[in-house]
Parts: sequence; structure tokens; C-alpha cells
Amino acid sequence: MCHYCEMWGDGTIWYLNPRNYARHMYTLPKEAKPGATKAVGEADPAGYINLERAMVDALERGPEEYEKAMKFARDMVDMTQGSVGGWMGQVVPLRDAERMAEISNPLGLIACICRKAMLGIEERCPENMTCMGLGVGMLKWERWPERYKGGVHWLTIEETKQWLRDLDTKGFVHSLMMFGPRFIGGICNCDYPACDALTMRLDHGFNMLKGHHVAMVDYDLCNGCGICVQRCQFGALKMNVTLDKANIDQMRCFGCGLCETACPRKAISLKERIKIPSLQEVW
Amino acid sequence: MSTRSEEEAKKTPYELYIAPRPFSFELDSEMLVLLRKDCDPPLIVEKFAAEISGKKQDDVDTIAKKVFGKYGEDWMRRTLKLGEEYPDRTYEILKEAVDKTGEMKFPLVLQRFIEIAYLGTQQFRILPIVENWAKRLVYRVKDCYIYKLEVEKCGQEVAGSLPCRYACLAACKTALDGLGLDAAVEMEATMVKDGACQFALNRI
Repeated sequence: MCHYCEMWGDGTIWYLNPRNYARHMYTLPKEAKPGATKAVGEADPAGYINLERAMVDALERGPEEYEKAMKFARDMVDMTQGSVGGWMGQVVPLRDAERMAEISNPLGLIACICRKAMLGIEERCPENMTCMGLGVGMLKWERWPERYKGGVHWLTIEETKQWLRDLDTKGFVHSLMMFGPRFIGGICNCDYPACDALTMRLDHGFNMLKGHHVAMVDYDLCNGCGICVQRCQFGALKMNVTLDKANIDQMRCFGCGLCETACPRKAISLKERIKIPSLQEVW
Repeated sequence: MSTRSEEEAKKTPYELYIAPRPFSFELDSEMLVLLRKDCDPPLIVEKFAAEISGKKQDDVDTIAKKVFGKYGEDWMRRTLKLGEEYPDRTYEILKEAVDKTGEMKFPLVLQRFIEIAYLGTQQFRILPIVENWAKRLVYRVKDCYIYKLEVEKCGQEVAGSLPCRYACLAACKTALDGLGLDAAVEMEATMVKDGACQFALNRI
């Protein structure tokens, strides 16, 4: 079981528990002052991208500096995102992302800040609308106009599901994001290395937990077309050239399910990680 | 990943950001003062204490239902009125989202008014929301001011029977009626047994 399921699952997978999307809309100030307003532009929207670059710089300065930078980054993530051990996200397959859309609201489509920072894609460009903000915090998005230059586009649950399916077809990995203790505030859809969260995990070993599933190939059904291999962003899928079939390294599999949704012969299925003894503690 | 739409987007400058009015995302403090003035918990608890004075224990529940039930209705009606008269930017954006999607009136608009009702009359700064999704709105009331006043004015035995629950249940029902929503109101936990009252509004 992943440690968030232990803490916040209430007997289910933690991100399928509606309690982990609930939040109050208002907080009274300690001393109510009539007419008091919040400042605009309190946070650096690209803070985590800067963090990742700082870690790369530290790596060049040596292992001790890198160790320090790593600890700082983990603490920073926990402090600002309410996570534990620097794990503020988790990979989810399409079917679970669709279920997440049913148990959270509002659902606000927004531009991806990672793709803006790493690839320079315009926020107002429809191709960059790959993030989904969840929860009542999205109602206050105008507090950070520089983060949301592309605005927020409110979607229905069904529109969100269709949007998720479209992004899945394009080959984007779905993952959740925590924005406070016991609060899931976003579904991220991105790819490596544009995605800061995936980069943090694959290059530095923290930030993003593996998903609750692992992929398995049915060799009787696989025809060796190789489509799944092209979609895997974690290096878990390779072609077995002798058999001419897809082969999955389950230790490397993140359970994103991109291979499963693309397989034309339904030869790949997702199994629960906790039911495979050798993988149940591999997050 | 250069696309035509991206190039077109780059040709036009970013629009100058103009802060909307009202810009406060938090509740209007004047509204909260007015709500507190009109629905002050000490007044209703004193009224209840006076009404049950000298009455048999069997009659207490009937009186509670009448006194607190009426209070709950009036409290939420006043909340619905003031909440519309004193909008904030959070509410304006919520209304935009509801208009755009046709969804989210349940639970989010309902949640806003329930939060106003409690934050305007209680002593806590946050109303804990346990669930808020398309089928359920659940909230918890801990450190309840009315319950504390009941213990002081009516004694532990009367307070332990939670006569004030009728106020919360009636307020939820009034909010649903006022917003034109259908949901079943249920009390899932109580101050006495669980340390906090918990109310669930389940979408029918």
C-alpha cells in the first residue's frame, strides 16, 4: 500500500476518496479588517522549475552539494505542498483520472507552466492547455494572473473526461498533484522531459510516486507492432527481438497505462501493484 | 511544437490585466457583522433556556424543535439574502463557472452559503468541509458556540441531547429550498459521541 493510502485512503485508493478533494472556500482573517484585500502576485509560478535547475547546478558542484540540494528540495515540497517525504504527485492511469473528475470540482482547464518554462509554449495556445486545476482554490485563480495568462476554462465532468481521453491519445502521462495536506488540487498531463514533476522523479528520484498499477503483456495477443514501446516514457517497454513481442520491465513501470490504451489488440492490461509481491513496496 | 495557433497567439500582445471589482476573494466583514447581529447565538440560547424553564424533560425536545427549527430557518434565510447582497470575487467566479457548465450549483454554491452561515455566527475561522463533490456535501462543526452556550445556560443534560441540531438541520433544508436543490439532509456524527457534529447533504 502506498503511504498516502495508509494515511488518507479510508479503505480505498487515496485519490479515489472524495475527502481528499474537499476544502473550505473561505477563511476568516485573525482580525477582520473591513476592505482588506489580498496582494496580487505572491508566488513565483515557476518556482519548482527553478528548484530543479538548482539541483542540476548542485550536481555539478559535487555529491555533498547535491545531497544538500536534494534535502532542501524535499523539505520545500513538503512545506509548500503538504506532502510527506517530498512526494507530492502520483501517476494515475486514464480510467482513474476519469474517476477523479467525478469526485472533485470545480474542474478548470489551465495552461501547463512546465511546458511554458521548458518548451516556451504560449499559455494562450490550445496545445498548452494540458493541466486541470481541481477544487475550490481554482475559484481564486485571479490572485495569480501571471500564472494563469491563458485563463481558466471551466469544464463539465463529461467534457473533462473527453479532454483526458484526447490527451491520452496524444501520449501524455496523467498524474495528480497535491496542493496542501490531504488535498489533491490538480491532474497534470505531460511528458518527459517537459514535465517538471516527471523530471524530478526520473532524474532526481523524488516528487512523483509510481501509480497503483503495473502493465502486463499477454504474449498470445501481442502481435509485436511496437506502438506501446513508442509511448512509454519510463523506459519500461522494449521489444523482445527474439520473440518479436513487447516486453515490460515491471520494476521500471509507473503504471500510467499509456501502453494499455494504445494497444490495438488489447494485449496489455493493468494489474494492481499491491497484488504483486515483488512490486508492492516499489513506489 | 510550433503550431499555427501558437504563432497567431504570439502576434497579439498579452492583454493588460485589470483587477476586477470587487477584488476581495474573502467574505465581506460588514456582512458577517450584520448576520451576527441578526442571528446572535446567545439570544436564541437564552430564549430556549427561558422556554424550557420549569418544563418536563419530555417537552424539551418539542420546544427545541420549535425554537431552534425556527431559528435555523431565519438564520439561513438571512444568510441567503446577505450572501447575495455582499458578493465577493470568489462567488462571482463560481457563478461564471456554474453558468458555463450548468454544474456545480450543488455542492459549491450551497457550500458558500453554509460557510457564510457558520462563519457569521460561530467563533471559528474555518468551517471544515469533509466532502464536496457532485453527490455529497459534508461539513463538520467542532467547537460549536451554540453548544457551549447550551451547556452554560441549560446544563450538560439538556445540551447533551443536542437541541440545537434542529437549527443546523433546518438551516440546511432552507438553503436547499432557497437555491432550488434536492438533497437529503443527514446528521452523521454528534458533538456528544464524536466530538463534532457532522452534516451530510446527499444528492437525490
